[in-house]
Order: sequence, then C-alpha cells, then structure tokens
Amino acid sequence: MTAEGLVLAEEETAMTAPEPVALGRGRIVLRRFLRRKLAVTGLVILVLMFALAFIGPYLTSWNYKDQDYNNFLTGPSATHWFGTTQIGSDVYAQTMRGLQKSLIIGLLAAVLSTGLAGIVGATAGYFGGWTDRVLMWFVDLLLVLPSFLILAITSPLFHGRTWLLFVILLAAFNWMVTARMVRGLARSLREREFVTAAEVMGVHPLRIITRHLLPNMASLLIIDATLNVGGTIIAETSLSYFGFGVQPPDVSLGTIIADGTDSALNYPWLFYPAGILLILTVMAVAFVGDGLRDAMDDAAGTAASTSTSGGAA
Amino acid sequence: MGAFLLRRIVNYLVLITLATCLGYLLAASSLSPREYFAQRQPPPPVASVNATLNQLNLNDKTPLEDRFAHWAKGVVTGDLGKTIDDTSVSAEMGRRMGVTLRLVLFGTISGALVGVALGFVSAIRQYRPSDHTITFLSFLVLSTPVFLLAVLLKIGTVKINQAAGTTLLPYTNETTAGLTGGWFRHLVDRGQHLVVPTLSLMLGQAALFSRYQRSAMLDVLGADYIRTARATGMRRGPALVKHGLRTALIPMATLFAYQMGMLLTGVTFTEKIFGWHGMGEWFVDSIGRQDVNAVAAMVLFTAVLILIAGLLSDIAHALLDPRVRD
Amino acid sequence: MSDDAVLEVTDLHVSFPGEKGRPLAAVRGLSYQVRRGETLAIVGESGSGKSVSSMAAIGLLPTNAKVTGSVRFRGRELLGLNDKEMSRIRGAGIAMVFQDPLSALTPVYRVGEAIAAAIRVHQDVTSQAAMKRAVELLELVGIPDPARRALAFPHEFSGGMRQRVMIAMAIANDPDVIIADEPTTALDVTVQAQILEVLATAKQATGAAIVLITHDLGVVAGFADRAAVMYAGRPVETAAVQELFAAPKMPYTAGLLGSLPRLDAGRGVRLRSIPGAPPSLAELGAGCPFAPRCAFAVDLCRTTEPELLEIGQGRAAACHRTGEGLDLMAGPNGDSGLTDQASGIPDTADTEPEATSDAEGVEGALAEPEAPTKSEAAAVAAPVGVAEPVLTVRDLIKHHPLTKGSIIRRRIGTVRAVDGVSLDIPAGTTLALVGESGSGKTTTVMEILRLRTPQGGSISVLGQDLEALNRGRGVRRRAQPVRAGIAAVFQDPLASLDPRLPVGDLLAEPLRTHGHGKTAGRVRELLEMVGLEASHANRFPREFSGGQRQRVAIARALALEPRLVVLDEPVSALDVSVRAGILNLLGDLQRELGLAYLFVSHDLAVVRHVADRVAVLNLGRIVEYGDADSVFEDPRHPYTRALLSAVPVPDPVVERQRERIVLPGDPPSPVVLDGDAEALRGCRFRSRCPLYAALEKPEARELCESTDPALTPVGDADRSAACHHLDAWVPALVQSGTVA
Repeated sequence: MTAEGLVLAEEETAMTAPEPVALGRGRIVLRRFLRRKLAVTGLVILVLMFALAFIGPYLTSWNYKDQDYNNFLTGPSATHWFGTTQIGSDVYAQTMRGLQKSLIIGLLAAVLSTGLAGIVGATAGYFGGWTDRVLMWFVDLLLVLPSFLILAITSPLFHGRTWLLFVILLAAFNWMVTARMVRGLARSLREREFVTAAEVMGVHPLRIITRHLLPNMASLLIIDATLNVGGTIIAETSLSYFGFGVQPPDVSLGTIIADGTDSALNYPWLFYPAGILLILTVMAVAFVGDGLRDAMDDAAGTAASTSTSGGAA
Repeated sequence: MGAFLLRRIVNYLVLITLATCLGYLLAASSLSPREYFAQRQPPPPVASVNATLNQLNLNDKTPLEDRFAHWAKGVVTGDLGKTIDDTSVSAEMGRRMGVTLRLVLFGTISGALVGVALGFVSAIRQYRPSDHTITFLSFLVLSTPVFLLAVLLKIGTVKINQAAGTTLLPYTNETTAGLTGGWFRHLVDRGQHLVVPTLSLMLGQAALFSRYQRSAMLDVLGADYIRTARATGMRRGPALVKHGLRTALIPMATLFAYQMGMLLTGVTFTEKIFGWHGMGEWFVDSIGRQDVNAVAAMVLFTAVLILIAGLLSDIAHALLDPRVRD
Repeated sequence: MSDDAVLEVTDLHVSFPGEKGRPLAAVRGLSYQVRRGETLAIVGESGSGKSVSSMAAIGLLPTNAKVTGSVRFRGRELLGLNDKEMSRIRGAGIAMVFQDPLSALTPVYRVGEAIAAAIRVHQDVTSQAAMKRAVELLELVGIPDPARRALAFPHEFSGGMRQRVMIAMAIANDPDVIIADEPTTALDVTVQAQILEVLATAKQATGAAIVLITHDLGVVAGFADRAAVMYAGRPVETAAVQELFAAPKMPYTAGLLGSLPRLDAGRGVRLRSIPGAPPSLAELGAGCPFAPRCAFAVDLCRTTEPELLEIGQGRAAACHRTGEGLDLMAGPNGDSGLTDQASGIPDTADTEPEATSDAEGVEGALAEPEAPTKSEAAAVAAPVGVAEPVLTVRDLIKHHPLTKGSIIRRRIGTVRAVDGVSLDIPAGTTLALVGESGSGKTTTVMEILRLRTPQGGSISVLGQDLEALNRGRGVRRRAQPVRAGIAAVFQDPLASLDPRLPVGDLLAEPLRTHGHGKTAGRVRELLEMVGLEASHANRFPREFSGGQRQRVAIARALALEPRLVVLDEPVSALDVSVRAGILNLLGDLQRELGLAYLFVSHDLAVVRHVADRVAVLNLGRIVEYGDADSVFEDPRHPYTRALLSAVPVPDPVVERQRERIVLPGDPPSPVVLDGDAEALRGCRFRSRCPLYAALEKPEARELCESTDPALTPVGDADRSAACHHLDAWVPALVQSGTVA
C-alpha cells in the first residue's frame, strides 16, 4: 500500500474544498504523465519517428523505388546516407518509406481493433446472457487460431489489392483479447450502482452503454489502443518479413529487415537502420502506453479503477 | 474436478474441430495449388494438372464443399490428406512435431521461471535501480519482434564463436551433420544446438511473464493479508514470498494459456531462421507452395496445443487457488 | 504516567509526502497509555488518523511515512527499532485484529495453517503441535467443530467466523496488547454482538490491553473503559467512557453524541446535526480544525489551534471554551446568539437546512419527543390517507438458482432471496424494511424498482399492477410514467453517481430520459432543495464530501416529482457526523413534498428515527410487521427482540446494565440446496431462535419443527408477527426496560 493510498483511503469521504473544475481530470493525467521520464522520452521518440517518417523522405533526392546503377551494395556515404542494396536502392529512402508504412498501418489497425473490441466487449458484458455467451464463444474460437496463422493463410487474398485491406484484416484478427477485457470491465460496471440507478430511471440500454459504460472505460480503451499500436506494428512487420504482409514494390520495416537478414553480418547497413527504428518505435509506444496507464490509474476517479469506498470507517 | 475436466475437454474438442475446419476452408479458398503447378517449367498440360489436383483433392474446379467433405472424411479416420508433392501429411507432421514441441517446451518453462523471478524482484524493489533495469530490458525485448531478436542472436552467436575461435554455440540445424561418437556426445551436441533457438523464444516469454508478475505482485503488496502476516510477526522477506508471491502466482496460470498463441507464432520465426525442420518452417513453406492440406495440419496442431495449454492453465489455476476448486 | 502501562504512546506524529511536496499530516500529536486488562477506545471518523496511528505503533506504515514521538511497549521504545527487532514484538507483544477479515486472511491458506504459522513465527514448536494449538484457539473463539473447520479456507467462512479466526490469530502468542481496528464495522448487528463477546473472551484469556479503534459510539459505550476522540489527526478529548458520554467537554464529541439516532429516543425527533464534513488533511488551516463546523466557535478558534489540556483526573479536552461551562449538549438552539453563529458559517455547502431557516429549526428542536408534526404533515399531504397506497406488494417471490464453480457453473441449489413478502405503503408515509445481510431487503427493493413482472406474487406501484404493465407491446413506453413516480437513492453515493458526469448532467438525466426539454432551471431548483448551491452543477461527484454527494443523489431522485422514494441504506456509507443532516433533510422533504418512503436499513436506530411502520425481514420473509412505535416498544417476534437487543446504545450506563440476547451462529443463508427438503420444514428461524431453544414442552418444539408459522395479527389491528409462541414467556427474552 502506498502512503498516498493509505491517506486517500482514510480521506475518501473527507474531501471538502475540491480543486477547481478547470483543473479537471485531463490536466491531472497530463501532469502525472509528464512526471514519468520514460513515458515522456517515449512520447518524444514517437513524435520524432512520425516526423522522420513523413518529413524524412523529402530530405533526400532518392525515392524508395529508385535504383542507382553506379552504386550496388555500397556503405553509408554522403549520397546514400544509409548505403545501397544489391540492386542499388537507397536504404535511407526505403527505410523512411518503410517506417511510414509501418506507422500508418500500426496506428490504423490498432484504433480499428480497439474500437471493435470496445463495441463487442461492452455489448457482451452489458447484456450478458445469450448475447454474451455467443459473442464470447466466438472470441474463444478466434483465440484458438493465432492471428498470425490466419493472416498468413489469407495473405494471398490481398496480394495486389490495396494495403487498406491488410489493415482491416490485421484489425479483424487482433481484437479478441481486448474484447474479453472490456467485457469483464463492462460486467463489473453493470453491477455498479450508477448503472442500476440509470436503469431504474428508465434510461435506454444503448444510452447506458454509450453514456455510462464506454466513458468509464475510456482510460482502458485509450491505453489499450496505444499498446496495440506497438502490437500491430510487430504483427505487420512479422508478416511482411515472410512476405505475407506489405507487398513489393512497396516496403515496410519488415520487408527491409527480411531483405537484409542474410547479409546482416557483412553489410550491416542493410539491416540495422530498419531494425533499430523498429525497436525504438515499438518501445516508445510501450513507454507511452505504460505512462498513460500509470497516470490514469493514479488519477483514479474513474469507475474503471478498482474499488469503491468502504463503509463508514 | 473430474466432471469439470470432462466438460472442459468436450468444449475444447468442439473448438478444435471448428477451428480446424475454419482453417481448412480459409486455406482452400485463399491458396491456389493450380498456380503452383502452372508455374512449373515447362508448364504441364492442363489435363495432367487437373488430374494431379483431383488426386490430391486440391482442384479449385471441384466445389469447396465437396473438397471439404472429402478432407473432413479423411481427418475423421486419421488421414490428414496428401501434401502438394504427394506425400502423406500425417507422416510429415509426425516427423516435425517433436522438433517444435521441444522448442516450445523449453522456451515456455525457462521463460516462465525466469520471468516470474524477475517480476518478483522488480516488484519488491519498485522504483529502485534493479526494477528500472529489469523493466527497461523487458520492454526492450518485448519491443523486438522475434524475427529481429532471432537474427540479432544469430549475429551475436557468430561474434562469440569468432571470438572463441571455435563453434562454441552452433546456431543452425538441430544437430551437427555427420557427427560420430557415443550417445553422450550426441546429447551434448543436441543440447548445444538448442541453446540459441530456445533463447530466442525464452527471452520474450521471460519479459512478458516478468511484466505480468510484477504488476500481480504489486497488486498483492498492498493486500491486507500481507499486513496481517506482518502483524503476526513475520519478517518482510518470508511474508512477501509465502503470502505475496504465492497469491500473485495465481494470475500467471491464466497468462500461460494466453501466451501459447504468441509462442507458436514465434516458433515459426525461430525455426525458419535457425534452420529447424519443425511445424513452423513447414507452415511458412507450405503457404509458399500453396499446400492446402499441410496448412490445415498446422492449424490443427496449433489449435490442439493452445487448448492443451488452456487445460493445463485451468488445472494450474485450480491447484493454486482454492477459491476456484470444486 | 502510570508504571503498569503496557503501551504508551507519546506525542505521536505521522506524515506522508503529499502531492506538491507538502507533507500530509495524518496524525498530529497523539498520546495515550493502556494498562493490562484495560480497554481504550480511539474514536474518530474517516481521515481522523485513528488507523494510521495504530499502524505506526506496530511499525507497519509504508517506508515513506515520517513518524516522530514515542511509542513504548513495556517501557521499551519501539520507534527506531529495525524490522528484525520489531518482528519479535509484533504478534507476540502487540497483536492486531483488522477490519475486513476476508481480505485480511491469505486466500490460499487454510485457516488452521494460518494460525499455526502465526504460532510458529514466535514459538519453536512442531507443526503438529502448532496445528493442535490452532484448533484449541478456534474452539476458544467459538468456531463450531474446530478440528474440521481448521482445514477450511477463508472464503468458506462467513464474515463473523472469519473475524473470529482473526482474533484467534491475534491471541495465538498471548500478546500484552491487542489493537482492534474497526473489528465489527463490516458485520451485521447480531454478529457484531458476538464478536464483541469473543473480544471480551480473548481479553480475559490473555489479560491483554485492548486498543479499540472505531467510529461507533455505541460499541465504545458498551466495551471500552476509556476513550480518546480524534478529529483531523488530533485527539480532541480523552476521558473515562462514563464521563465522556455523560458530559462531553469538546463540541465535536457533543455534536457526535447529539447527532446519533438512538433506539431509546422516540420517532421523528429532530437530530442535532453537525454542518459540513470532516476536513481533508491536505488543507488544514491554522485554527481549530473543527471551528468551521462548530456552533460555539469564537474568533480565537479560527486563528489558534487549541492544545489538548488536562481538565481533570484522566480527562483532557482541546477546546478554547472548555473553562466557560457551556452546556454543549443543549445545542446551539438553547442560545439564540449561538444560533446566529451557526447559520453564519460561510461557504459551507453542507450547511443544514435548519441552520438557514431558523423558525423551522427551532420548531423542530422544541417539539416534544413524540413529535406529532410528521404524522400530521403526512395526513395533510395525503388526504386520501391509508385508502390509497403508493405501493402494494403481495406474496412477492424471487428465487434464483445457486451455481457453483467459477470456471464451469453448475446448479446446486436455490437462493430463496425473497420468499413471500407483502407490504403496503400509504401515500406520504415511511415504511422501513429491516433485516441483516441475506435477509432479502435489497432483492425486494430491486424487484420493485425494476418494474418487471414478479416471479411470484404481485407488485402494484402507484396503482399500476406490474404484471399488467409488462403484458403486451410498448412496455418501455408505457412504463415511463410509473418510473417517473418512483425513484431511488442508494447506499453509496460515490458508486451511484456516474463519476464521469458533472452534477448538472446527473440531475438532468432523469429529466431528459422522460422528455423534459429545458433542464437548467429545474436542476438549480433541485440543488437548492437539498441544500446545495446552483453553482455546484458544474462539479463532479468526486469533488464533494460524502454527505453532499448523497444530497446530489437525493436531488436526482426528486427530479421527476416522484410520490414514492426507495431509500436503500441511504446513510450507511456516511460518516457519523453527517448522517443526522441527511436524515433531517429526508424528513423535511417528506413533510414538504408529501413523499412516501420505502426505507431499507440494517441500522435499527436509524429506522427508529424515521419509520412510521416497520417490516422485519428474515430469510426473505417478514417475521414482524406493524406500527413502528408499537414494534420498537413491544417487539413480539424473538428475532425482532434479538435484533433490538443487539444494537448498542450510546450510553455506557444503559449499555452496561441491559440484558442482551446474543443470537448464536451467523445470519442464516437463504440458500436451499437441491434435495434438502428438511431445510424447508418448520420455522426457518428456529436454528438461531432463543425462544425455541428455551421451549420446554416437546409439543411446542414439535410445532416449530413441523409447521412454518404464518404472519398472524397481534394485539391491535395494524400488527402481525410470524411465530407460534408469541405469548410464551421465556427468561432469556426478558427485555431490559431501558432499551425500549
């Protein structure tokens, strides 16, 4: 038990003169977040990564599709910052393009999958009964098949189509664990008295879900979406590594690493830039997510945080 | 307990059946074996391709439901069909299963043990340097996809071997080809080969378990019953282990089931990168070869393993937590 | 300082690092000593520092806590000892009993193992010997069949039984001091009575001193020898218990005593309430922390914090006006000048209505104990009177299957949560539903509030039969007018108000749901009605004190001008000093708006204060029903008698004289296992019934064993009870006259 916890527990009902409204939850979360060094570092790195991914390509004259027939497998130089590949592609341009692709795919898929998880989980958890059983059984079924397996098997389906299809599939097979979590939370929220109070007032179930359940799970969903960005980036690059994801001529960090793997010992520039950027990005996301969780958990006041105040003690 | 297990197993059997069927249907509608033959040089005549495809139950001109029915009939009798190169899927699976299981087993057990220990240390030394170090390292590992981790380990091993001037740690294949000597020599050789690939799986497991164990442990650190134990005069260390760790292990049982899918994904990369001829390697190659039946076999294998993990975690949960027994 | 004090705390200060680097002072100068065999009560509300001080005494505060002062155990200074040395004292010298025995016992160990482990920490004995001793201890604390129960896990015990285990563990090493931190707070009254007896037994067995930490003055009156009252981290009064209750010297103590609803007071007596709420430790100013709530505060109080000064033999108080001979118990109404001061408190949102409207407050205070105001008002508000009930429940049944196993569920029995309940509430009156946990109170209430077709029996709300309502199409739409006529206030306002919505939105929700367009005006009106300010609409529930939050919940319930309000334990989660304010508000609103209340509570003293009629619930059935005065003054059913006798009276003189009926065992569970026909035979109260146990004639006992007693009229028309032997006279049931 932390000291703060102990005192706050004692004080639970003793709050009289509250902080002004202007200093609302958002500000408290922000303040606590900014106090965590790792989280702030993560945020800075993430911002830099986005900047690099979207501004980086314009800093060099090379396009990721270009080939320099005078330079095959040359090391980093003034013309080719990260060197060139066997066929004379500029590694810097490719890496920037790959980073961009991985970031966009990760972000989109994560938001989509968390949204889906929120809807399915909240519905199952709130309504319970058969709705719950059917949905959760479906979730169990999907959990039996690792998403990597399904996506690999279905990869021929989106060859030659838009990468957005890939994003949708990535999201479609990545929401189950979160949905289970959301459902658990929705079930416990459903038992909370403020939901009961709304029910006996005659508030419509859909309105209860949108107005009471989802806002109270917001912190969980935000944290989950953040951490999912890292997860989907890993999933995307893993699939792309085997050629099941982003298809040539387009590149992702995964395909670049795959191409560089065999020559990693002798031509390290083919492998390390993409590898390091990938690790940095995912780690930055993880730090931000972790920092958000700590900040939001501490700021409490959400129904999502575990306990209610005990008796009169 | 018996009745409970029985119901669980029945539920699992249904899930395995459905998952495998789903896997087959997805593979059959997504992969195109015809292309595999059509791309051969010189292109074989269409009639002979059709004949081969029919014989393998892979002809896309046959309605999907008929192919499925044919495949399902075989599976019920224990016949998983033919690979695209006309060998028995079951036989190939028999050869490869052991390889994958060995990796999975060693990876899980070592990973879980190391992870639980690290998580415990991390939690009781919260916000101290040791906690920061463990946290940072586990984030680093968790942020590194297995393929990258495996490649980095491979490079590292090469460097070590170079420095040692001898092949201290072999990193390709399961055994040294053409090795002579007694059974002991063979055993050591296999053990040596196992180290680096297992490490590539174990690190991720350990990192994951350490994070979860840390937070489970932090949850119980503030628990009233630890305070009670301390109030009876128990010292901090014993109280944390006997009351804290013991209780914080309970949620780990659930994690065990959840991480199996991740582990099976990881093993695919490990096998490919370290040249182990297991199920994962076969799966990736089979997709390249448009080999529907082999892919379906991998789905079956995965589903069974995941559900065995689920069953084991249920049992572990019941053993650890008296509240869910009976 | 007496030589024989085993525990001596001197000028104890505890502080924690706070949010902005400013330390939070949780305890600010606590001193006390206890002798062997003596019981000292530390009384206080939440945030008073009472629990922190005990944790500091045994050195179990988090490491970032700063503790200064002195804690001496048998003359040895404990502050500054290292963990190894402290561990030898914990358990063996000073033992603890904690509040919530479920979370306080490690869930994965059998209770016998847990006690044996506690023994072996200090004694070098074999595990068999320790286990044997554990079983003996379990027997000592009254666990039936201890050898078998020693092998059970904590979750297989009831709350009361777990608390017995905690006590067994505490006395395992024969300690010199037992610190009991709210040991009975989470328990039912009948179980509380048992646990207090067990504590007394434990004290006798070990001869230990007991430090009893509690917020319940009734428990203090019956159990403690001396008491220290804490407020905002400081002791404000210490005295022998008799003196404390007879003549409190600090306005806070006096206020607490005056604000307690009492069983031995009449119905409708206006409670003296303390305005405001206990202060937060983070924002203590320079003056007396109680000054903003104190009716006697003078300028000095707001600038200088008074010292705790000795004012007599073993007596001390911290008040600037101690020497002035004020009659603190008379209340501010006794002196008009002071009344002005009370109403002049600035910016205290929790200011009580009577403090702002003088006339009414005076009227309430001057009214004779049997205040007729209420029933008169009810008659005016509801001219139709008894003829038109707002709620009629007939033979209500709610059973649900009991399942077992958290992974795979299977049905093993039936929970007969509500098993034939009939009620009527005439417009404008209050019916109290009383019972222990598991009696079916909350289930009954939810069956009514959800407006669904009952499983068995019938419910009619505002003249609308629920079965008819749920027949046919458009149920949701047709139910809306009924929903508007019935509202609810739940126990914990922090839980029943969505933390994500500002108060304005919370109050507007029922209005919008029922299609009222403009809500702002009504929201303002509602806030003012419950004694809050219109500007509070922009705040979030978390920013209010417990009492204010409950006011918000009450305002929300009133939004649609209901005729029936269901109050489910509306004051149980609140601090003692703010309860009176809420109860007074509820009384005022009822009088002004002609509301009918269904008041659910386990607290008989509160019920005594508010109810016109009472229904006593046991195992899903009403065992006694009737006019509140009549039931409280002359309880007929043995269960009602036992319940009443278990309630501690906050008056040491009365409390120590009166005879008590301590019911054996736990509140029974409404579960009937599949195939257990025996459970349904005969009177279901008989396993705990002192009357049944005392019956001598076999025929009489046979009647209880074979026939389920029905509610039968008793005496005057409006009363009934379900017992075969209502007229039996049994010594064990003799009521001490002082209680009623």
